[in-house]
Amino acid sequence: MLGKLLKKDFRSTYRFFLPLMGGYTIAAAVGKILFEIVLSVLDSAGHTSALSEGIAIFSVFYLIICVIYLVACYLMTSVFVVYDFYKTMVSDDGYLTHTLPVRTSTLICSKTLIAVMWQIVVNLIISLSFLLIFTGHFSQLPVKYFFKYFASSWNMDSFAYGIYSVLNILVESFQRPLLFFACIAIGQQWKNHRILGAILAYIGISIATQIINTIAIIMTGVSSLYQDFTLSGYMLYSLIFGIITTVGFYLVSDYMLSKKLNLE
Amino acid sequence: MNRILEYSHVTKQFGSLCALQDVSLTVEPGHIVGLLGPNGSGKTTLLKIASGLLVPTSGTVSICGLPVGPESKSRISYLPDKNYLSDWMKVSQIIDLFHDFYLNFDRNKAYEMLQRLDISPKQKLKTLSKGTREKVQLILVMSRNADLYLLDEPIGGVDPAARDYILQTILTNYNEQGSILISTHLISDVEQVLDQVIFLKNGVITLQSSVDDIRAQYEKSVDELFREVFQC
Repeated sequence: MLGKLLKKDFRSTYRFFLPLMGGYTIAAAVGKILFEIVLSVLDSAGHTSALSEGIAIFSVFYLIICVIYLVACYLMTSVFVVYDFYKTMVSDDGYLTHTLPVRTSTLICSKTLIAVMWQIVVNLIISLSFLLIFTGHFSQLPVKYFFKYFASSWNMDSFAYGIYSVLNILVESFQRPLLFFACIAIGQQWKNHRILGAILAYIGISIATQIINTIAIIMTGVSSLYQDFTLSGYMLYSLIFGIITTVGFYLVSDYMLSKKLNLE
Repeated sequence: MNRILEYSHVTKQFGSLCALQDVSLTVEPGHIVGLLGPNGSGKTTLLKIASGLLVPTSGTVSICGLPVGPESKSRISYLPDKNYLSDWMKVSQIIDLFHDFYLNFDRNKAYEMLQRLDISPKQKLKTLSKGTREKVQLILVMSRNADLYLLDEPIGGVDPAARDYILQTILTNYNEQGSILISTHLISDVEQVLDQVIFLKNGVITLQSSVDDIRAQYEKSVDELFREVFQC
């Protein structure tokens, strides 16, 4: 049944993500063309010509728009995931979702996997867009110096840092949607103000998580305030804390939607 | 005899409001049961609990001897009193979805009914009128070879001609080995198809009887008895 649910959830979400990602891909491609034009104009016309100044100003504006679009992509990814979950799980469409012959845990797994997939797609497209922009100019970037500097200042191998970063991003990709799902699942207990309930649940869970996180950091001694602080230790701690909270959010969502479902 | 549906001391509380109070009832196979009561009497709550959309505060519900869960949901065909289909979908996509999830869904029967009503499977739900969307929902529900059909106000809010069509669709398409629990307050329209009736008042069952017994015992039609019991 999970496969069928994934198909259903993919269908209901791709119509949001395809235009968003398609738009970003076009914006990145135009950015690359503009970037190359700016470089060639600067090389041939010099820095002070009116043409180069005009192109530079236009490029800066375009860059600002691209950055806003990039931030919007991240924000809209969460917005679409939340919207789809709310609509199909606790509003009128939930009447169909919850009468399908599947377990609540399978419903949540499907929603989570689809949300993770879209986050990975968004991250990949954005990363590829940066690669595209700098293609042909990598030799001019101080990549080697950066890795050398990084290793010496943080006392951590850049490869290990990369692995930890990928794992943390992966855990966060599960954690973020499951936090939203847990909040919506709690919010549906309210009869009339479900969205407000979900927002209050979000605030409450965020505060509680921060408090627990702070206490745990102090107790485990991974804070940068301590002399024996290491980045690898902190990243390992983040990973473990992320996994624990992710499991917690999943259990809350499952409990609230299976034992306390309230589709009034 | 096996029971298709059994409620045992079911109570449902919404805050301080008691929507259902210690409800116990059974539905046996091959029966069409009318769940009758005025607005706010708890009919929808009763059906939602069996469908798994609400969790009872206390008591238990079993469907074909199974607790409410994926197994029971595969045996129930539920028609809610609202539009529960995503309006961006095409009719054919919804049929595919039902076919994917419900093993007892008869795709050919659904397409036949659509054709009879001149509804194009290629149309998106948002382009359909409210009445046509309700008919699509009814077609989906009645195209399942289910053990139990839970129909919540299927004739509420439609004109008399449409009511006849809906009742006819229900009667000609349901699995006769199964049962139908149909909630309504339009008694006179459904009375002729019912085998049994349940009167629900303020979340309490006040009467559970066969239609024949009512006529014999009270010498009244169900509609007349309903008007008497629920007189304002």
